[in-house]
Formats: sequence, C-alpha cells, structure tokens
Amino acid sequence: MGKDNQENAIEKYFVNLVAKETHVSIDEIKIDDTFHALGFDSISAVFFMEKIENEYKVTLSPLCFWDYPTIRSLSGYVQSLM
Amino acid sequence: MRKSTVSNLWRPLDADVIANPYPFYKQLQKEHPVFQAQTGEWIITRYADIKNILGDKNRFKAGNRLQWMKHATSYAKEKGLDYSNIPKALQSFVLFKNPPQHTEYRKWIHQNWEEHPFIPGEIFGVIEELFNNANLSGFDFVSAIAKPLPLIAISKILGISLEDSPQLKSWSYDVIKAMDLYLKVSDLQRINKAAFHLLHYFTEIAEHPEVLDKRGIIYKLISDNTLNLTYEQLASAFIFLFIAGQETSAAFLSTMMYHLGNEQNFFNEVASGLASANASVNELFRFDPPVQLLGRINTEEVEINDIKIRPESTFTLCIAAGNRDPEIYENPEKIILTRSENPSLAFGYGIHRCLGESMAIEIAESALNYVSSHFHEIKISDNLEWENNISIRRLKSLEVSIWQ
Repeated sequence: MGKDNQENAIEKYFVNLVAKETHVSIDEIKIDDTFHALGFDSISAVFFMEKIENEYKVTLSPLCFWDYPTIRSLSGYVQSLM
Repeated sequence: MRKSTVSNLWRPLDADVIANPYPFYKQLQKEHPVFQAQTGEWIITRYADIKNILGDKNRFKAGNRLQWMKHATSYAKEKGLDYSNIPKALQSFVLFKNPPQHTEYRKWIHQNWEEHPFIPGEIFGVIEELFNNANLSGFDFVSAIAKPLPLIAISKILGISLEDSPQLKSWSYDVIKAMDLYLKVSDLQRINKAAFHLLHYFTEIAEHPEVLDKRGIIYKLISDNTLNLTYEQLASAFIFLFIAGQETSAAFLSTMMYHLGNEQNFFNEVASGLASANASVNELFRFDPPVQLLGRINTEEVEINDIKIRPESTFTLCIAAGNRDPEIYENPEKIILTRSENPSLAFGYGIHRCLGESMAIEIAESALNYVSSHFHEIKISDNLEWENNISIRRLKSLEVSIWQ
C-alpha cells in the first residue's frame, strides 16, 4: 500500500472511531475539525488513543491527542511512526 | 478552537524537559506567564499569580484530579472496564478537599499528628544504618537511602509494620501516578490494581486496629473518628498519609544528592557550615522542589494578566517556575544558601499548605547534616535516570560514589 493510501486508511479508521464515540454520522465528520469540536474531552481522548495504539502497534504520548488535534494531523503523525 | 501558533510551548512530557524542566518554565514565564495549553488548561508560572491562586480558596477549588478520576471511572464503566478502586482510594485525600470538609479533615489529622512514636533523634540512627549497609564506592542512592529513609520514618509515625512497608511502598509508587499530568489506559489499569491492594490493606487495619502500634497516628485517628468515616474512607485517609509522607520526601532526597554531587560549591558551602542545615534545605526546596505542579479549578470568571478566564477552567500552577521568578529572587538560577528572605512555594501556600512540611524538612536536614559531616566528596554517575513525570520531580536511579 502506498503512503498516501495508507494514510487515507488510517484517516478512515479514525473517522469510524470518532463516529462510534460521538454518535455523529460518518458523512458529517470532517477530517480537519478538531477532536475538541467533534465532542472529545480529556477522558474520551485517553481511551481513543489506546485504541489507536493497539490498532497500529505504536506508542503515543498522551499529549499527541492535543498536539495533533485533527483526524488529518493525528493520522499523519501515526503514519510517520509506522 | 484551541490556540495553535504557540501550542508547542507546553511540552512537559518531552525528554529534555523531564531531565531539566527549568529552561522550559523560564520561557513560559517570560513569554506567556498565563498560557492556555493545547489541552485547554491554563499554565501559570509567575510567583505572584501562583500565590494569589493558592491563597484564594473562594474562587479556586482543589480536587480537579479526583473529579477527573470519578468521571474517567464512570466513562470506563460504560465501556465495561472497572477502575472504581481509584476514586475509592483517593476519596479522603485532604489535598482534594474543599472547605468546610477540608477544615474538618485537616483538624482531625493535625490534632492526632502531634505525638507519635518516631522521635527526631531516631532519624540520624536510621540514616547511619542505611549508609553503613551501602557500598560507598558505588551504589544506587535512590534505592539504598532516598526511598527507605522516609519509608521507615512514615511507617513508624503511622504505627504500621516495617515488614509490610516495602510491599506498601511498591503499591504507593503506582498510586502516586494518579497525580501525573496526563495518563494512559495502561496507567489507569496499574493505578487501579495498586489502589485495590492499598484499600484492602488499610481497610483491614481500620477494622482491626489492635494490630497497630497504639502510639502511632493511625491508631489515634481510628480512636478519634469524629468525622464518622467509613472503613473505606478511613483507609483512603491512611493511604494519603502513607503516600504523602514518603513519596515527595524520597523525591527530594534524590534531587538533593544529585545537586550535592553535581555542584561542588554547594557541597563545600554546606560542609563548611556557611548556612544552617535548615537554611540550606529551604534553599534547595526553592531551587528544585519535589512537587513541581499543582492543580486548581476556578469557580467564577477570573482575570489574570489581562486575560479573562471562564469559570470551571483547569489551572496548572508551576510551583517550580514560581520559585525561580526573578521578580522575587535575585539570581534565581543559583543555589544561594544565605538568602535572607526565602518564602518559597515548595510546600504550597494557603489552606492546603503541606501537612508534612516539618517532617520532610527534618528528614532532609538530618540527611544533609550526615552527608556533609561524614563525607568529603561525592561523585554521581552520568548514568542517571529521571522519573518520566514532572508533577513530582525525582530520580529513578542515581549511582553515586562517596569518599569519607
């Protein structure tokens, strides 16, 4: 899988996770919205990051969620670790 | 929307910050003394602002960490995960209480703290024994001295068995992680497991106080249960005393030795008796305090440095930054044992000022006196490891060589 495709796949996975967490339909989730605007808080963030770590076998600092505050930026960061 | 342009200023988990947070604090204090981090919390680094917030019990509440844990536990429960031991273990921590409950808890602890079976002179004997058991040509100061010394002291003060203390210490090490700035699910799992064991141990004690040294604080607190606390609430109060009594003291001893080994001038000045052990320890508590960060929440809109901050915002107060504020201290980056005024924030300020301050100072003074009067050179290895957490600054290991 090419880098762009892989990043796109990560974004898709994130969109699905966000939809599940926030009960917002997938079509309404924009990858440049901040997680905060999408309805996440400091608690849901912790569990969200755990799912990402397990799915992609990466180690993320708890601050990554805030340093990369959108689906696009965080998936780019996760891709860079793989 | 969060600010993004300067958000990378708040990077407390970076390795260089863990090893030495002071340049990071200095930059924040100079450029953005009231800074909204990417997490949404407000970072406060000036001495005057920190002192005002700590002193303002009406507009700033303690206990945000316990609130967070309660919410996290409810959230986890919905996902089928049980972390309920964490808020149970933390429920009676006096540092999370607000008036009027805070006043009652503090009074209850304070009035039973005055007499206990650990007499001041005993500390010196414990220090001597620990150093006698160490291989002075090369040993880990943290595991040989910094951890066991306050552990023995607090176990005797509380009246619990010294045999149980190493196991309690390892659970306490995990539970204190609850004070970290940011946690992961794996941390919550670890904290919950240790909280379960500590609750079990101290609940049994609350139910059967006859196993305790009757001169110890815990026996007295159980006998004087004027707050009508349940066994579980009592257990939480004892967990707090046990953890608070040794974790920060152990942290301070580790950094004190680090500075004694790292800055020959400091060691020489202490050894030459330039200042009293008390003044030296106070200066070191200012220079590199073990508790670096404290949290508060505002109950109403507040204005700091012309910035209006809405109610229920989280504040992270950088005690260690305030202690090096050039508005208060001349040459704040230097250890100066002869400072005439040293009103540091190391033990907090206001109604939550540390209950164990005199015990922590006494242990540190005794250790400093012992080291400066028995040894003439300390070398620390480059191979040292900091705990990955700046809320409580401490070394994980510190290899030292000592010459008598």
